[in-house]
Amino acid sequence: MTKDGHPDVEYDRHCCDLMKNAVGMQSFGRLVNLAYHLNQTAQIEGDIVEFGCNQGNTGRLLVALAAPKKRVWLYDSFEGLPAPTETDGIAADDLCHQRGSMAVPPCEVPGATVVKGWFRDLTLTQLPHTISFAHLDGDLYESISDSLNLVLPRLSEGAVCFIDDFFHPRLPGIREALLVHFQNYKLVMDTRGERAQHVYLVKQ
Amino acid sequence: MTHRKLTNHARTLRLFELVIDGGILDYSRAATLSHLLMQSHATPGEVCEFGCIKGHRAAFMASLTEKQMWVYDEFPGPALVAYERRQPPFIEGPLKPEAELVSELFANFDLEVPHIVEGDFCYLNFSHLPEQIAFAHVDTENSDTTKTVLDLIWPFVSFGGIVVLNQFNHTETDNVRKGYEAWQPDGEKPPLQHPIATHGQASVHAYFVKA
Repeated sequence: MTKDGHPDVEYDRHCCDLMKNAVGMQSFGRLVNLAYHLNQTAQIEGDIVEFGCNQGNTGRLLVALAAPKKRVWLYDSFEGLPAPTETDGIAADDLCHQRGSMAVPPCEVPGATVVKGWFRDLTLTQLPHTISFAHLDGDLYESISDSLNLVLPRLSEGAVCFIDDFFHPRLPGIREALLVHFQNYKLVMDTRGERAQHVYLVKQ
Repeated sequence: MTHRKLTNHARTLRLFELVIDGGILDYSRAATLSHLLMQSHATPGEVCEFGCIKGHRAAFMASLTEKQMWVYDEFPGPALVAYERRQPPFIEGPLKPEAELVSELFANFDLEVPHIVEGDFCYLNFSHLPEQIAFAHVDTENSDTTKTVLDLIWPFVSFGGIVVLNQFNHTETDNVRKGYEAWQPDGEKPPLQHPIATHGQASVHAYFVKA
């Protein structure tokens, strides 16, 4: 449907094309889960953020699906991942080498605010006041921990925060980062879609 | 055209495209249906679709699950009110080619051919259902048929199972809503959930979970 509520095959086709572009970095299952929850949070106060937007393929889909008046913020260092810590383990180090550098030129995503920088260096003016939907795709302990520090205090009631690769066997730093932050917020973790490899938190 | 050489992701995407290009589902309904189906992975039982038409949506669903698909339709077209039509059910003959197309579609995408049940839904009985249902997509379009299907499947829906009612919130017809309201299951009727579609609008379909 278009933003004014009419059936629109062209618009649906456009979303489908964006989905095709994003499959690869994200699985089909992960993308439809994101799309579903983005829609369900359309009436919740706050903006949409993605930490770790890389080439902006998922970000473009978020822009297409975003409800009117919602702003989409995309963050990335565009210089690759930070160095893995001990918490991430040797397997994560190997995986990062296998994947090669995640450094890419800063992406251009019409309709979104793209912010270049390490997550821990972001300033208040570079962040929305409230967040209704977040997608964290930082792969490592430090980047997930830093993005959780920024996102969790800003989540509105009912907001959804996805953490990508939560079940990835070679990225234990993601789970560690979440465990550290999880206890301080009223959050519900839903793992029913666990075959999609991610987990999402709902702010209560 | 055969699609047997496609990877699983590519196959799902191709079927997603077919469903959207064919106007069978809009993007947000397709995403919601996929999301809900994936939520039922761990629920015991199989996946059913009542009103599968030519089977594209069922094939798309099949590409997302390892569960067995069961599809039901009169072949062709939506079931009409037919309680007064005392015709022999599930006949062979002119209905056959449509069902064969469904089989061919699944085979072309290298999907396990579903259980196909042909005929008017009012003649369905328990022997036409899997032992347990984890997920059901009901696209029956009229009130009597909706009630009939819900009456039939409810005892077989597993706890945690999801039933999606297409067209429930259709702006031009309240047939499915009437069918749901007329349905009186044993025990408490499960509350309906109304997903939000793209851009904060009301979605055409609704669903409930057996608690």
